[in-house]
Amino acid sequence: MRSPCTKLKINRRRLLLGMSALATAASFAQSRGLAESSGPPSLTDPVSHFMFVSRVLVPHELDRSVGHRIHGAFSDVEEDFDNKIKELQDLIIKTSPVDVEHFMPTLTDIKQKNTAMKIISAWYSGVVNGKSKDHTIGFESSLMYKVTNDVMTIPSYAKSAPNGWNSTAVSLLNMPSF
Amino acid sequence: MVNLMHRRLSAKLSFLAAFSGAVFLCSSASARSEGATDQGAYIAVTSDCVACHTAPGGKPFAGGLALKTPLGTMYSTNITPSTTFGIGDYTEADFSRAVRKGIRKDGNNLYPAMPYTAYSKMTDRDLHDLYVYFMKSVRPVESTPPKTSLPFPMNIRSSMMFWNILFRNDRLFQPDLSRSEEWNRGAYLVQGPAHCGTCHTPRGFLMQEKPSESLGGASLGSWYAPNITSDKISGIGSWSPENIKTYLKSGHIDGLAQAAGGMGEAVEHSFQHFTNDDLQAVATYLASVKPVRDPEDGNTSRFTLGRAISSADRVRGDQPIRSEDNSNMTGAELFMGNCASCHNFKAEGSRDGYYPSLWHNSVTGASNADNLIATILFGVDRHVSGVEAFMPGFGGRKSDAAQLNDEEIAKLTKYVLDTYGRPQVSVSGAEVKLIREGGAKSPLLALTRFGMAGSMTIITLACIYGVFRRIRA
Repeated sequence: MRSPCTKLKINRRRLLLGMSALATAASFAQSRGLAESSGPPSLTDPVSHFMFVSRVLVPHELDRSVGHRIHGAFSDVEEDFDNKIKELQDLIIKTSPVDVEHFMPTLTDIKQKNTAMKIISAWYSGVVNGKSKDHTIGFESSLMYKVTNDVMTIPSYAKSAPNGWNSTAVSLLNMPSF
Repeated sequence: MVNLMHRRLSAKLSFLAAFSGAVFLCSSASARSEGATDQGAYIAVTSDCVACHTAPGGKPFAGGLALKTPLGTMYSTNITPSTTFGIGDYTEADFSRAVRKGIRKDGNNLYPAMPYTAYSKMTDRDLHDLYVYFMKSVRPVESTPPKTSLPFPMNIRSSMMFWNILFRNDRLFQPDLSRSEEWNRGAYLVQGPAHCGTCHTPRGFLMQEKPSESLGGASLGSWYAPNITSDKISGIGSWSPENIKTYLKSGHIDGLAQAAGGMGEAVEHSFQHFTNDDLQAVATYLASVKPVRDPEDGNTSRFTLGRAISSADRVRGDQPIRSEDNSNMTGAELFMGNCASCHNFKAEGSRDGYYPSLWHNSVTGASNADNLIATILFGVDRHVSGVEAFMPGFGGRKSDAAQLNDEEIAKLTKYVLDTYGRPQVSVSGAEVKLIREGGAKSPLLALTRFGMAGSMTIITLACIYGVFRRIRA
């Protein structure tokens, strides 16, 4: 049985480690422009951890309210999802990847890699797939439509007047920024 | 009774717009073939005669357009040079008396649905040219439209004499010599032939225009003709002359306003054909019109409210938006299901501006919801320079593909106002019902009947009393 003193010591150590990790994460995120407007992930808010990881995996402007829904859906279909996020977050803090292309090769654990791929997929497709049920998160907010938003509208949305299907071709040299 | 005039534009059917535009083009083309009537054709356009005097599918100026008013249905008359059914036997003096004073050749009064209070300001020269145009360039049509038959006592045309004594204008346009020629031309067009005040000036108890609030905005039944004074908050004082000219020419300015209802028809039939000089003159004059402020507008112009916001993710989810099995859809769901596909899920419109943004929009930023409700109900169908601006109605007509009920339109309207426009404006299903039916009914008919009954009672009692006294004596 641990003494109260030992218990306190361990807790303090954990706390210090956590704070240190968060400080490192904050400086990392800030240096790469990835920090959330609300600051570093809070100790108690799992959505903030999810957004932190997402911003490394998906280098675009991410809507926190959409992230909240994706996180909720993953929590429903994935066992122990917050711990998986924590693992990814720890790895990000440890490796300080420049971008997602540099981060993915560091994911040697296939389970971690799968989790990362699912998160990327959810942001782009707007769907979280589960074993027995899929969750629709969004349609308009799905990132896959933003890649072509300089030329195409989101399916079912009007481009112009009725029957106005054609328009001047847009140069492909300037890719949209989102 | 004068409410008929007040509601004139509101009663027009939207598909008239398409036809009448073609009518104008045909008629003006025929006018151009006879040089002497070119100017008359142009005056007919600036006066927008075709808007009322051509029925959907009918022949040019043959009348027959049904104007549904709170006092009954009125039909416009045949003003082609047919000697039997039209104005073919009118002399120029007869013509002038009808146009300026509202009196037909047979001596009967016209109802002020004909805006003769404005036309009375037109110059002799313009009246002459207009007369020549109608007599020489318009093809006679040998048919008579349905007769107007209003309920008693409005069917007594001579009753209009009293209204005319009070409110008819007998002065031609008086130029202000301290102003520029351009300003005076604009004032003449706005006050005279273009008769802007007929719709845009609020009316008094007897439905006369209130000069003190000229162009300050007025209800037209279903639609609302907004404030076009130079006030920077309530009016169009923030518009540049170019804005005004573009709007009149096209009926559309990105991020400001779009013409629908009666104004859509006015742009289609009339304003788009104005010369650039006349458009400039109108813009110059409107910029100088005495500002009228509506306290309801506070400090916020109707053109500046709202921003791009999406409720899409709020209503998306595992359950798709369905209307067939959900009788209680939210405003956001109604928006996503009916409006967003064209106006975009952030209500920013289509990229080319064909579909306007719903924020920074005169309709959603207004202090009353009339025009937003009417647009949803009746849609938009405006033809300008060969291009159609179209929005379907959502239940204002039985032929509309989507039929939203009053409560649904109230929820949708409130959602749009709250999200993209002026949130403090209230909307109810009862208000939608009223606009669907053409607006508030005029109390004048009941008041007139009540007044006449009261007068008859007093006269009868006086007679009885007189007879009684004579018998006793």
